[in-house]
Amino acid sequence: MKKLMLVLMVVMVFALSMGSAAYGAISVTHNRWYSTGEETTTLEKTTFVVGDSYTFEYTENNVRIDNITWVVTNVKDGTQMVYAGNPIKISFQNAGKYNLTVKENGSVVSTTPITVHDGPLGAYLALIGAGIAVGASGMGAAIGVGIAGASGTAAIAEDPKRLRNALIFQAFPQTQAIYGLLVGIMILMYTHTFATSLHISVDVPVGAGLVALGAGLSVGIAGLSAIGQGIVAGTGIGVTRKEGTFGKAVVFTVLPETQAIYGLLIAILLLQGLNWMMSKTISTSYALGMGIAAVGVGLGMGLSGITAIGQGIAAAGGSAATTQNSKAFSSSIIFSVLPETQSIYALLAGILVITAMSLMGGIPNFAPYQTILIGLGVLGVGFSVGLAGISGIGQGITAGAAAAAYVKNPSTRSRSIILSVMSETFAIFGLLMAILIMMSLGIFGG
Amino acid sequence: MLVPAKMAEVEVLVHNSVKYNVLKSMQRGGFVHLVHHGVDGLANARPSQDINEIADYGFRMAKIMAVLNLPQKKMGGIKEILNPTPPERYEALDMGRNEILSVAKRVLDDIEDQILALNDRWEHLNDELERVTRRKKQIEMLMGLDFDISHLGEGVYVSIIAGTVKSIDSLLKLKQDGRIAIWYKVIGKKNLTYVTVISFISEEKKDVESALRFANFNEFELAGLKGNPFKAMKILEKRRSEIKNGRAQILNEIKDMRKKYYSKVAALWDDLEIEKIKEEAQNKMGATDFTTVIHGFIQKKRLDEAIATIKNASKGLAYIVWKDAKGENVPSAFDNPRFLWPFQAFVEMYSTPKYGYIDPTVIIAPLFVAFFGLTLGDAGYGLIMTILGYLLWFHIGKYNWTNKTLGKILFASGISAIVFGLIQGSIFGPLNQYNPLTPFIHYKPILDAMNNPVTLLVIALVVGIAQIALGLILGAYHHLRYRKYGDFLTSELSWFLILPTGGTLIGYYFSWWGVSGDVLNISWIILGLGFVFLSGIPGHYINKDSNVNTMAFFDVTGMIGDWLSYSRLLALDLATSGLALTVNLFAVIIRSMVSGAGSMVCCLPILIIGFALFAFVLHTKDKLKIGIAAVLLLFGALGLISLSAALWLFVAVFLVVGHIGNSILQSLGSFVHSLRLQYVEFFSKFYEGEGVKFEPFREIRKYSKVSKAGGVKK
Repeated sequence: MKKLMLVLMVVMVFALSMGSAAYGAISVTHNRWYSTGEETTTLEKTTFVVGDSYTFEYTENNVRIDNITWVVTNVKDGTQMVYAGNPIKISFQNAGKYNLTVKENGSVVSTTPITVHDGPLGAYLALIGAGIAVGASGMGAAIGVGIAGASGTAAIAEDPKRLRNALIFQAFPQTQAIYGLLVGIMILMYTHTFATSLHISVDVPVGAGLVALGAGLSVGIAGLSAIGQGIVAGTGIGVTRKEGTFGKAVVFTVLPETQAIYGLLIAILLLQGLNWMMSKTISTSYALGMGIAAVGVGLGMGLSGITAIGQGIAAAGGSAATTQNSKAFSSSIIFSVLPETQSIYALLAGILVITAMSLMGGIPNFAPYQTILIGLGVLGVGFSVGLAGISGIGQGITAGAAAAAYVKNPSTRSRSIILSVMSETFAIFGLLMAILIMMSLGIFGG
Repeated sequence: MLVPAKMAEVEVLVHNSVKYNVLKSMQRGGFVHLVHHGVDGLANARPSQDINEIADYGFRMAKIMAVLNLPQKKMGGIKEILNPTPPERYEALDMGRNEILSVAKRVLDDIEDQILALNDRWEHLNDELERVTRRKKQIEMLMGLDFDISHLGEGVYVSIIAGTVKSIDSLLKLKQDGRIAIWYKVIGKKNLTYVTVISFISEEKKDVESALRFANFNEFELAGLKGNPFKAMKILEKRRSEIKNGRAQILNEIKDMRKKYYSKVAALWDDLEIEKIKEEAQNKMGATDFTTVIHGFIQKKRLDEAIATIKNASKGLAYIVWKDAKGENVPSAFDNPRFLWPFQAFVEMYSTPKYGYIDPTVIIAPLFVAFFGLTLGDAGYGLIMTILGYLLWFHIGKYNWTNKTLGKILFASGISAIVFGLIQGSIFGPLNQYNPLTPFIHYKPILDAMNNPVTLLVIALVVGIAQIALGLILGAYHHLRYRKYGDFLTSELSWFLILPTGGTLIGYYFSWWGVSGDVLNISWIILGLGFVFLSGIPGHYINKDSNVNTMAFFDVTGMIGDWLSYSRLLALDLATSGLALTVNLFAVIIRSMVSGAGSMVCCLPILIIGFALFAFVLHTKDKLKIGIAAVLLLFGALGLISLSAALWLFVAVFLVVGHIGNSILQSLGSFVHSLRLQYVEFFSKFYEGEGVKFEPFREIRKYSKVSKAGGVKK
């Protein structure tokens, strides 16, 4: 009986001692950078996201304790950040796994593992990329298809049997929209944003989102090439009134699609990088710099793709010239491909940047913060080759006239080429400036 | 094979007494490409007096053939497309000029009047049928206005007219004023038309005509008909039936005539055309009082046969000289093995190769097929193209050269796409979780372009530089062969120096590979030398005909552009795979989205719409509309019985339509872009086109064949 009483007393003393022990808890107030609202919850229930700030407060028995030191340790490399104070505001710069240690008067009170996510911001940027990819290329395709369609209606007014040819030619400028749709869907797939509630489940680095935006810009704006293709397709519908001209007219019609293909190519290469970024954890600075550079590359390729309008004009002239004289085919092809060079400059610059900035996967050979600055500089590269690349419209106007002049007088060929390439000078200025910028940034020639 | 067929330049001096025989044998042999005799001071030969008779008979024969073909119905439908009726070929007799003309005259005398009379009757009945049909429409509009049509017309005191107007107000005002009597009815729903019968006295004629013009009056022409509209309609229907019977009778008569005479007339038309070509060729020949000079080019491999044929036909009264052909005007004939013939069309479409220069058919044929396969890069789509190619080759294009040629190219290209598709693991899209074939076929692809595009990009660029280098080698061959050393330095040697050294230096500076200091220095020196050659100055120094290259810089950018252009091989390949993947993905999404809905929610509206549409379009006899309605009915009904079955059927239809559509669109792109790489990037390095096409002087028979020995092949 005595033994039983003794046991009961021990149990009661233990229970009392437990009840009177200090009860420590960490509460976290989440301040979202894009929102004015706050949300306070326990440490375990908080989702940590790069860029947002969090106010940590340590309490014991609901009383805030002073002399608290917070130690945030990166699990991967062991680096530590130490903060003193209670409450304390902390903002995480990089995604990854951390251990949060609370020390009271130098003694460890608790250690809790936490994971910092990239958050959905990148996904929103990726969605913009997908939208531009489909929207801009769709706009170009619709205008091109419309131009070809107008020619088609004129053709069927003459002869309803020409509807078949009109439909074939009208199909060519539709391809750009298909390329845009393809890249749009690939962006959604790679960023896991296909019919998903972004704010809950998606975790896309901002850098990856920017890369997706670059891909969208590349294929989307280059999709405006469909306008040029529509012009030459319309001519194709017209010239095929004459027997035996179909094959040659198709060859001319396909020429201004090259810019869209280059846009698609750059987009696909960038999507490789996006895929890589989504599978790795890299420093936010690197990701951001690479993302901005990708936007520059996409802008350059996309804008230069507008040169296809010039190529369309030139090819339309070539197609008409060939119909007049079938021997003009080879010379007309040469005239028609002249305004393609501008987009090749952008492609070249794009590939150089992609290689130097490891945009298809890998960490660039620069310091993290430096990568951001270089990325900004690459925007200049993109604007330089991209906007100057639009000079192809002027070149196309001359080249189209040159094809017509050739039919009249074949001896004009070489002199017409000289006149045609004059407009290209400005694209060369653009390429030159792009190279100079790349040299300044240390990503070319060094 | 790599150059056009070797030619011999031939001159034949033939005595006029055997000239016809010689020309006939040449035409039948089809071995000589005639050109102008080119002898200074020698007059051109003139067509004989027969030419007018030949042209006249030919024209009349063509007219008779057109009449005899009236009963022929144009065959249509899938069956006819897949198994086309062979074109009619009739036996032709091997006749001389006089015999042809005499037989043609006799045939024309025998049947021409009879056939033209039938044609007159036919045209007369057609005109009347058109008139009766027009009148029937007018009478139909007058139904309900009970009056005697024979009263229509202009009398001494009163006129009665019938017709339609778009606006009735001005006429009603005249009626209110008591100046006309009018009976009318309204037809049409949106655009109202008034059918009117108007009576007025002659004094009002001027004002009434003015009002009628204002009302846009369209008068009916019904003279000769009598009774009320109902009775007149009966009369017209009877007449229409008589006309149709009359037309059928004429067609039967023409059919009988066709059976008896068409083969003879068609063969004679061919004979007359062949004689016409003989006469038209005369102006290329030179003439003396007793002889004719024939100048032309014959393929050397047929030269012996040609000389023997001419000698045989001339009975020794011909003098033949020949030499190896040289110069700009020598015609160019392809000299490739039979399996390459379809691809000659690509070269021909660009430009006929110049004689003595490269014919690139043998190079572009395999490259085109490979590029098509690589850019399409899907075994499923390749299979579709192979089947389409087979149908074009052996069925649709059985009697059509263009379709047959396209079929052969598509067949080979489709097989290539199957191979590349299997290498890349793409059968109706990549074999991943979205592809419905994945549960049945799964293997690790040799080259997964979707997940590793860089490898394919490298392959594309390596292929590109290899083809460009081949083009430069061929260009060098031309320049060295014709001793244009200056052009060789500027156009080819420069690149042979720039390309490898430039590549070495770029790789070094991009840290792709390491290079020793000596190699670096030597590379810079050789690169500089290459640019010096590219400027054209050394070339111009060696050969004054070679121009200084003021566009050297653009040549550099152009060369880079040509090379990078091959990256389209990768882009198009990924576009095909990506879009095929998208089709598969959408199918999965449709399945998952719709499967949540109940069968009543999902399928009942479809069934109702199907019923409504079916009822609405059944009377139109439009197969497409009825087909759409039937499909909706099928889906709706099936869905009510089993939602799952309807969904699977819908997804299957979506996949089939999506993949067929995508395969056609992508194949079009692959076809044209593969061709473009040959034309723009490859041909620009060496190709000398604008040659003269070898067009032999030969018999062309559209409807007949000579079956005797030495005759014309079918």
